[in-house]
Amino acid sequence: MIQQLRRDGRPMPGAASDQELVECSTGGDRAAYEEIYRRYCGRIHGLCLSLTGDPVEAEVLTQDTFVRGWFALGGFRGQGSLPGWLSRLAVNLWRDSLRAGKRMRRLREDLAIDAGEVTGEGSLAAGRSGGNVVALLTAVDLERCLPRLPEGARTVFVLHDVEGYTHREIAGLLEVATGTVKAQLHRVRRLLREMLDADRGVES
Amino acid sequence: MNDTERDPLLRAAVELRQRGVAPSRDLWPDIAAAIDRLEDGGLRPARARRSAQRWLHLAAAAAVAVLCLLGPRSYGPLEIGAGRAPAGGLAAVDQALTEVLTALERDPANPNLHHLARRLHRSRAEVLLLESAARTRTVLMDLDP
Repeated sequence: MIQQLRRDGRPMPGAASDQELVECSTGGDRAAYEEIYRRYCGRIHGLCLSLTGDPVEAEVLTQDTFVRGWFALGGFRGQGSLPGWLSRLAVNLWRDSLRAGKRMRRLREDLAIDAGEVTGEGSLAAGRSGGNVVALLTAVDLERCLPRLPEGARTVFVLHDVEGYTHREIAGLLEVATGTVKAQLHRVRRLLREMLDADRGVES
Repeated sequence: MNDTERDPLLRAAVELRQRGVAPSRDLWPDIAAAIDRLEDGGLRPARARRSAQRWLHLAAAAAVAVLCLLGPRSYGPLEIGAGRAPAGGLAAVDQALTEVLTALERDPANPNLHHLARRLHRSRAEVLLLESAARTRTVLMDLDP
């Protein structure tokens, strides 16, 4: 691929790879960092919206993530993806904000609900009663259902199924038992199935 | 077929992550302003520390690579005439030594760099001796009918 270059020989932000943008940004190039923002603001904002369930909070968290990212980018080792690194930053900031506002306790209480009623973590597809409701599931359906989920269940689902955190990582992050995370994951899949069934029933 | 392909929910979750949700307004002006305020307040990105650390890692990696190239025998008593100097060994040692010495200029109190520099100096002397011995051996073999 032929890269467009600026006068000083550095790549134009739009044509640069993530790694090049990181190197330029850590060298103080604000335009390169703005390009990182343009590239990943949707992904980070989507995550923040899923975690907070509130548009205003989501924008504040997105903003904080990119502000913190500018100062912490020197710590990005390039071992994972840049959006993955930014996502972790957003999750850590969200967790810190929960702790500061004493909302962590409320979240843990929410996580404790129903946590003991199920074991295992079968997939939604495996657990469904029949029909093709789940098979036709799209990201738009999920986006519509997420705000209606209880905070704890939504959090576990977003961290595990959307962001790829392990059960243990989520347990450490939320300071709960791994079993609680697994149980909540099962619960949220059941809730999603019920919501989808209800929505499709209304539509048809 | 992996889990994501098998499970429609996981597939939709991955799609949701990749698609993202754009904010209702451009957040960049506020982000840039916040960064400016923090920098005006004396906060600096961690880039300088990273740059120095990365540089030290590169120098150390180069030095370790050279030490590995030379092998453990080069640190013991030399067996004159029995071994051959590694191809390009001196150039590699010189390159690593230059990098470590430059790193020392930046971080003169770093004991690891001093240790590396000492080992590389010793390695350089050993490579020179090995090359000299190899040349002598070749000359002697040429003289022997």
